[in-house]
Amino acid sequence: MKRFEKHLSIIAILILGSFYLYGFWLSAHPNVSLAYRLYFIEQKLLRWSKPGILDFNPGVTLDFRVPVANRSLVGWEPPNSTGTRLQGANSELYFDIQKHIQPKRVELKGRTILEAGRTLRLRILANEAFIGEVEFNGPEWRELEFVIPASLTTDANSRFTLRFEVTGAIGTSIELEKLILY
Amino acid sequence: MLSLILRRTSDQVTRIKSNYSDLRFVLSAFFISRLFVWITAFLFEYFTGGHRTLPWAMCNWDCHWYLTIINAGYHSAPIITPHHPTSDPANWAFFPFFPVLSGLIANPTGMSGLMSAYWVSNLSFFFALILLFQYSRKLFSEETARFIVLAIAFSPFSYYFSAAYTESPYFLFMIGALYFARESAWITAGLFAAALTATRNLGVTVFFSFLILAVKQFGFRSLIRLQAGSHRAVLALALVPLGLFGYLFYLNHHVGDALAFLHVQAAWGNEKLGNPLIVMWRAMTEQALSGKFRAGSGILGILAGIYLWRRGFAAEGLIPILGTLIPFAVRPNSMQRYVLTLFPVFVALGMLTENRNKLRRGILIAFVIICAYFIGAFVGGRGFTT
Repeated sequence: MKRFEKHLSIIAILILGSFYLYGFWLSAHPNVSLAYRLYFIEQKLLRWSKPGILDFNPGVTLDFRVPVANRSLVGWEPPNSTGTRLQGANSELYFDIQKHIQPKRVELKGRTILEAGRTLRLRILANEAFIGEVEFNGPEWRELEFVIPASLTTDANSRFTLRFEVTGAIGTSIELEKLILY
Repeated sequence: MLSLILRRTSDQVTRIKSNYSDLRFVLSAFFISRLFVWITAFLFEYFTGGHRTLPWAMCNWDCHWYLTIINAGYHSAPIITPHHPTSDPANWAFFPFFPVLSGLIANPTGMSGLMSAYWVSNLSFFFALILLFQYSRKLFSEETARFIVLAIAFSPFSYYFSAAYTESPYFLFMIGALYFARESAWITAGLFAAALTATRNLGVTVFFSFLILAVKQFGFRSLIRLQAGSHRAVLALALVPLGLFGYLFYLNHHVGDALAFLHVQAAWGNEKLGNPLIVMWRAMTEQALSGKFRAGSGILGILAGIYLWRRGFAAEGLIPILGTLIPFAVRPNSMQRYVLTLFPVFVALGMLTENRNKLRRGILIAFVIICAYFIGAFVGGRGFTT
């Protein structure tokens, strides 16, 4: 009887162990929307975006004069939902390309206020790949266009990231008004 | 599982019944302390011009989160709530066993979610006091056992044992787990521990307490080789995380993220895991009085744990030590509630005051006064009480 009980205990321990191992595997592989991943897991979004809001459709327009759901938590000033100014190298925008339509082109309207003779450089990366850079040296609005190469890789979460890196004069930044992704 | 826990708990009630004066003592401690809590809460609400009924006056902060689970289950997506204007929380952070037990009372009886939560909380506290008395009686003198029961029943945060919070079931399952482990009733201890981890994630700390007791009872070699009946202790150890993993599986099914209970913390502030001692130091030096209070509670918990460990109660001592350090690795919020409702803290107090009856009386009087003040502050919605 004792032997039987011992064997039963070992079987129960093995079943429980397998159950926990499967639990660990599930914990490492969440099956969630990009919005959930960005807000809860990676903590990169300022607010929760309902599924669908981050979706990329050709021609999707972001107006930075109103809160932009796609904006990363850091890298934007002022640090609230209406932040329009790019800061340092962490300013990111996220799009969900669940429908597998790869963005081809990005248009943006921006400006900066600088003292005469100073320049500010803006580099743009799409999914960590460099797609172009531009120098700002005056306060007038500029409309810019960058081509996104078709060969870009997309991560397993169908995420498309646009990253802006600003280098140059300290204490100033580039202000965005509009961005269109085709 | 639930029926075995209920049967074993009722066995203890039967056992204590055989000694009428013990039962009368625990019943008195329970009813007098609970009347004190409810009457004090009522008086504060009444004299501060509040218009809430007593159950609602005692329902603050997390109580409302538990009610969302009891009444409508877990959220499928974050919600918009005026209490969190700058973030988007969901109720996944709150473990299921307490709301499930409340639902088990509410559904067949037609009782409101809030009232059923109070029933679960108060009944759990009653049974926890019985187990605590039995546990203390086996290890200490009758006087000390009685003091430990009175100290926890009238402790400054004892109103949480009557609120719609997890403190009471957590207390019941923790004392049950350790009591039965010490009695070598390992399977029952394991089931209490599984219920504990389904009540609050920190319940997993009891794993290490089980390990210490199992090594003491069987020796490390026998435990590893499953000799001399140690297979039951190993099975109990394996049962500890069952409640936690059960919830993980549920969250994976419901939300798609097994760790949603952790990830949802982002909505309460984006703290990352840090050094608990640094977080404690910052709370002590950089925060207002409430921060110092939280840090002080944490220090008290650690000291109680170290004291128990040094007096040969390592299994009990680990609980306040880990129960302080783990939450402090995230943030100091609610530390005083987490630590100062843990029964080993009161066991340490009982041991520290052995044969000092005057001191014990003084402590109990101080506890009653502080508790009355905290109840008023809790009813009034003062943040330092949570």
